Amino acid sequence: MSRSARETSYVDYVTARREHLRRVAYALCGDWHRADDLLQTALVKLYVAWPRVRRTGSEDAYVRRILVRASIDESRRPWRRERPTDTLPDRPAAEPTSPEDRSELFAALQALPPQQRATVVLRHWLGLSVADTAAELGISEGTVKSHTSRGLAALRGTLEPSETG
Amino acid sequence: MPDIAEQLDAAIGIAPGPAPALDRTIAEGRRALGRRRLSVAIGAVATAVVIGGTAWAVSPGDGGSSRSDAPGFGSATSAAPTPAPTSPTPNDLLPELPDWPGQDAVMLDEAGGLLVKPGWTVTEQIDEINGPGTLAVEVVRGERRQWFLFGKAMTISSLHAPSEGYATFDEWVDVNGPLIEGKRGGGQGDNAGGWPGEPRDDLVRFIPRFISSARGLEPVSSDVTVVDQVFNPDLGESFAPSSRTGAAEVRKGDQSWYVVARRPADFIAVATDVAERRYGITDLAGFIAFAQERYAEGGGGLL
Repeated sequence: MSRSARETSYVDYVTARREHLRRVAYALCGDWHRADDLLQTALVKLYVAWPRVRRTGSEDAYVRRILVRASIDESRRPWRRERPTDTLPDRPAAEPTSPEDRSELFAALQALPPQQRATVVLRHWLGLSVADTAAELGISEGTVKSHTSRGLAALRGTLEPSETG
Repeated sequence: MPDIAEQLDAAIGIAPGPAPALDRTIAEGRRALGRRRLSVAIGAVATAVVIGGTAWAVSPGDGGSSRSDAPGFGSATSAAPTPAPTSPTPNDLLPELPDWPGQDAVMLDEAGGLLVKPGWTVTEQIDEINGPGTLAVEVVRGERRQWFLFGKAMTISSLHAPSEGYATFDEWVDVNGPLIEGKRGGGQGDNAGGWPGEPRDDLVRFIPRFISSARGLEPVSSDVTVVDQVFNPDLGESFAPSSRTGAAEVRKGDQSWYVVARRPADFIAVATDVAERRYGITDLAGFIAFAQERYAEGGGGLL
C-alpha cells in the first residue's frame, strides 16, 4: 500500500465513521468540544497505526479504546475531576423520552464514574458483548458486569421503568 | 417503548455542528508518525538500511557501523513467505541454509523468498505490509530478537529488538512499514517526517592517517570542494564517539550538501537546499545542531 493509498483508505474510513465516533466521544466526556479533542487524539493515533489496524479490521474498536482511555485520563486530571454521586433522585419516567428527559438521562450518564460510564455506553448503547466490552476496557468480565449493574442502577431514575426492570 | 439503547441514543443526540476539518487530523497524523520514528532512545536500537545491495548500519551499537558488501545467496534455499499473519515457523522445518556475514538473521533471495539463518525462528511474518513485494518479519533466537521490513529496494531492520522506542513488533511495523516503498534521500519531500539523508561515497573521505598528520575530511575527487568543515563534532554517542566523526559542507558542480561522517567510511549527505527548505538550516553550524538533535533522539538520525 503506497502512502497515498494508505491515506485514501484512512480518509475513507474516517469520513464514514467520524460522526458516529464523535457521538461516542461525546457520550464518554459530555462536552462536544472535548469530544472533538478526544476524537482528534484518537484519529491521530489511528493514523500512525492505520496499516496494522486496518489489516485486522478493528478500526472502530481501536478508536473506541483510545477514546475511553483518553477520557478516563482526562477525568483524572485535577481540574477535570468529577464528583460522581452514588445515588440519583428517583423519578417515575413513564413518558416517552422527551428532550427534557433526554438531557436528564444524559446528565445522569455523565454523573457516573468514568469507567462505569464507558461500560454502560459500550454495553447498552453500542451493544457490545460483555467479553468485547471487557477487552476494550482492559478489565475483567466480572468488573464489566458489576459496572453495568451499578451504572444502570444509578440511571434508573431517568430510564423508563419498564426497560430497567 | 424505547429500549435502553434507544433512550441512550436519543439522550446523546447528534453533534451541533460539523466535525473539524480532516486535513488537520491528517497533518497531525503525519507529524506524529514523523515524531514516532525519531523517538527511539539513544543507543537502544540498531537499525540497518540496505539499499541496492549495500548495507549501512546507522547505529554503532550493533558493531556494524560500516557498510559491507551484500552477501551472496547463490546456493541458498529459500522458504517462501506465507500469508499474514502467520503462526511461528520452527526453523528446523526449513532446509539447511548457508550462513552469511553480518548480524542479519534473515534475508530475501532473488526470487523474494525468505532466508533464515540456522538457529533463528520466525515468530511473526506479515506479507504485503506496504503493498506487493513488501514483507515484515520478526525472528528470535534465544534472548535475541530482530525485526525486518523488506521492500523492493530497501530493507529496514532492528537488530536488537525490542528497542526502547518500540516495545512491540506491531508498533515498530506501524511506524516503519510505510517507509519501505519510499525513496530515500533529501529531495522527495517526505511529509511524514522521513529521514533527510542519504549515503554518499562520492563527496568526501577522511584524510588517511598514514599519509598525513592533518585531520579532517578531504574531497574524494577534484570536482568536489570542501566549503567548510568541523572536525570531531559531537553528534552524540548514538552516532559515534566524537573522535571518530566529521562534518562538512561540500560542493560538487552546481549542487551542495552537508555531510556528517563517521570513521572509517560512513558518510551521510543532506542536500543544502533540502536542509534549508525543510528545516531552515542555512549553514554548517546549523546543520550540526540539527544532526545533534536527530541523533540525540536516536533511531535513524539522518537516515
